[in-house]
Amino acid sequence: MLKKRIIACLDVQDGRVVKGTNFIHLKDLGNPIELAMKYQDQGVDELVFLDIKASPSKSKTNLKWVEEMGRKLSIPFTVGGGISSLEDATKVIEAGADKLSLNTAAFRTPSLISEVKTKFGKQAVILAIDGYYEHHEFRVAIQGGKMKTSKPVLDWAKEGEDFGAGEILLTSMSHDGTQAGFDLKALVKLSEKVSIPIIASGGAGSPSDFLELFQNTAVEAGLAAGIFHRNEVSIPTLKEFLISNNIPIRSC
Amino acid sequence: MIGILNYGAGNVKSVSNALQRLGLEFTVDDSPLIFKKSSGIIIPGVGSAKQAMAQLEEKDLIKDLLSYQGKIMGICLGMQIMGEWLEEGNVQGLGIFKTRVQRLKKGPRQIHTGWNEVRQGLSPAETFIPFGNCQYFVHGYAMEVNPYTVGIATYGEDFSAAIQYENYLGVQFHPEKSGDLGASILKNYFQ
Repeated sequence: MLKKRIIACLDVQDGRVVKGTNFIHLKDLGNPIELAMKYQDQGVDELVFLDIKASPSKSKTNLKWVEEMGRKLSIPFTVGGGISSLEDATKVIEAGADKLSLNTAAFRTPSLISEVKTKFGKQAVILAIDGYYEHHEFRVAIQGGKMKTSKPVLDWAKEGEDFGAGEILLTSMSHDGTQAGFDLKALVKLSEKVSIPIIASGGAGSPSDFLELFQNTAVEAGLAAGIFHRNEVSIPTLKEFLISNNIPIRSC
Repeated sequence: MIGILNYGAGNVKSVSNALQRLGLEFTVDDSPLIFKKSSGIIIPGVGSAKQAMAQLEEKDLIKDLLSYQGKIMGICLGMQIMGEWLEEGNVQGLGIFKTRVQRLKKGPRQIHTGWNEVRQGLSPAETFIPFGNCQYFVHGYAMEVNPYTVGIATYGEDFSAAIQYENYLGVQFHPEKSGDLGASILKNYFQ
């Protein structure tokens, strides 16, 4: 049986891991390579690295650390942030990333999704969507959450799938960093709307939040950052807890 | 020396990184010379079946793939093209295994993505697959279960996770991305 995935996300800024609340107030949480290796040893199923400075300042992802991750990690990893052309995507894949996370650039130029898909396959394209609420409407924000658009999240997710995205990473911005649990309502709707795997992000504060996620939605993976980085929840403890509650999880 | 066939079908980097971590010597090449200088061959592969077969044809690699006496391991698409016919692109494969590769239709999503358990298949062939453990998969098409299936996985339906015949081993999952257990397959097979 296919296991539910536990994914640790490392927001990287200037070669350091940072984490904020609701996309702002960033704190330094350590060296990305050290943290990544620690999580791999602890049995994390996948890693996502987001170069959070890359998109707003239009700078490019530093490929040195991507190459180092590729050499050291023996589990799949995704790199995102600042990938705005097929050329950028090619460099990141050739540096050793397994998947790319496309966000702002894909929103502005959806054909980027199909270009990357054609060159590297659907499995290499994760469409990352940051959603925010306004008058009970769940809409897309871009540029690391700084620019709000009027596009409904569900519509964009479906379009992204049609353009060739292989997975959707949905971050609910109002939940991000709050530790109030995942945005189950949005995730249920999204998983009815698309037929590609979904990674839930934003709001994980405890092992019970992951249990609720997997018990109440069909999503394939749960992603968290701060709770792992600050050692509030350890990956082995989380996995044992989920296994003891009959969630299909890879034991290590 | 292990030769990684660089026929333009992706994941060469992750395979070479994995061999490097294991301390295994390798070379990356796209010409038939690779068969002369290597004691084992890896056919990596992500991407489209049609393009993969066209590239193998264009680079004149098919004849050697069929006559090579050393060990050959096909990974993901590299395994699928060892079959006879692939639904994706409606193309003929290498025909090493007389089986079909078809779309997975019974799973909850189009693409089977993530860690899944590999169980022992019917083939009695001695293999290096650690059964009962998880490997990392990402694919939308799969080879049907057949007499050469050494490992089975399930995503809505059973399919071949690993096939083996003489000097050919095909794995649908990615041993280069499946942690220590995946790495052990690469190491044991080529040692």
